[in-house]
Amino acid sequence: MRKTKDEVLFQINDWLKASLVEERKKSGCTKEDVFDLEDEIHSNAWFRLDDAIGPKLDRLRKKVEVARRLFRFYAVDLSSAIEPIMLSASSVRYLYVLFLKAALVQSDFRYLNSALKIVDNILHRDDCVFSEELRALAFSTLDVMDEELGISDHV
Amino acid sequence: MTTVPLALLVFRGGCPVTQAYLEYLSLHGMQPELIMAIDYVGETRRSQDLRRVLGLRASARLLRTWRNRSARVPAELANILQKEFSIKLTPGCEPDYESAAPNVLYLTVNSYSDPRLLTAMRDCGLNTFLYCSGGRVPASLFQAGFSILHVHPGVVPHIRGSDGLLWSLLVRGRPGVSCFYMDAGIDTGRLIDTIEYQAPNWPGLDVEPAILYHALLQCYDPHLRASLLATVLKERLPINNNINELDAKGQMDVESGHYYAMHPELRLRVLSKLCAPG
Repeated sequence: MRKTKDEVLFQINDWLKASLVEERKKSGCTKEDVFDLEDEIHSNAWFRLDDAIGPKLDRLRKKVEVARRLFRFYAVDLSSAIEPIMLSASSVRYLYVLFLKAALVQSDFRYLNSALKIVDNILHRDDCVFSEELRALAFSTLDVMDEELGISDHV
Repeated sequence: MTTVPLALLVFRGGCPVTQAYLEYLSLHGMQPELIMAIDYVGETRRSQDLRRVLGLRASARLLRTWRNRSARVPAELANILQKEFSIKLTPGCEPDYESAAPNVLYLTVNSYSDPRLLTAMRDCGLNTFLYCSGGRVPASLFQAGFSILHVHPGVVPHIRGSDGLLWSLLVRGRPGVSCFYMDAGIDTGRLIDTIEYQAPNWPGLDVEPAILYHALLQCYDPHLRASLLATVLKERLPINNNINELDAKGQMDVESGHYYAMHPELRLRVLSKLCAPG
């Protein structure tokens, strides 16, 4: 039986909250004029997908789709990486779920597209393993968007 | 037959939109003044490896043959997808350039950014080009002061980027096309015209998604783009025939990111709806 939008959103938020607590213990690096993606994406603003987060999330979407790499430290405007340190595998997973949330909340298939590509290992990260449950979340999101938001109605 | 002071930049091999442009222009009594038929190697590592072994000309010719072969669509499927159109495209078969324009310039280059291309464009006597390919145009061509027309599958500024046909179907519910003068941005140039069409459907069509996707790009999408181009040139060309002076406006300032290649799973959903039983 297919899940409803609320059920999928609940599952997404649940996963993000659990991960938030876990990640906050690990973070702590602060440098001026540096955007520490590892720290930033675990903030409440990103969890809530505040308006200010939209452009940043879109930039990250481009990094997934075009550059196919995610680093930990970027220039403040996210224009370029400033240190060749990869984003941790757990943060890649966190970003993946954030993309799913953005897709669902904003009815924007572009985020779902990027999330699906992350699961397909577009980032070429052998260390980034997705559990079956996490993979299934993308397809639940797709099913919800398909039924409730429009592929069927539009096309 | 009206000769439009326009040069088609044709990167040869697997480029179905070129045949569509030429056929639709001809249908409306027009032809381009020049076709630049360009054999190219391309920038992928495999292509460049081939060039190192075979040399520029032989590798470009071989790649053209391979690209044309890859563009083929099963005849029955091509017929189904083009049922509504009076013109029938034959993906994989290059048009007869010599009979489609009074002047044809054959050229072999390494890639789009090869200086030989820039030189040929400078020397050809025309200033307006129609870009008949995908990918990004090198900045050097814009710096040279040319006007480069492009017909993009998707209504800009809403649908910019890759896989415009499928994203248009998914996001706007129908295919759309835009004609604009290219600039250094991705699908951001001064806009001449847009049009949206009824969503197609082929109820019960049972084709493997990858084959259908390929076929749509080869023999459905080019019709939409060529139709708009012919309409624009027929209705908007100034009396002085100056194609640089088509009425064009800057695009609306819409805060929207680009679309990238559609993931096969999303693509599958869109394609299956196109073929859903009525």
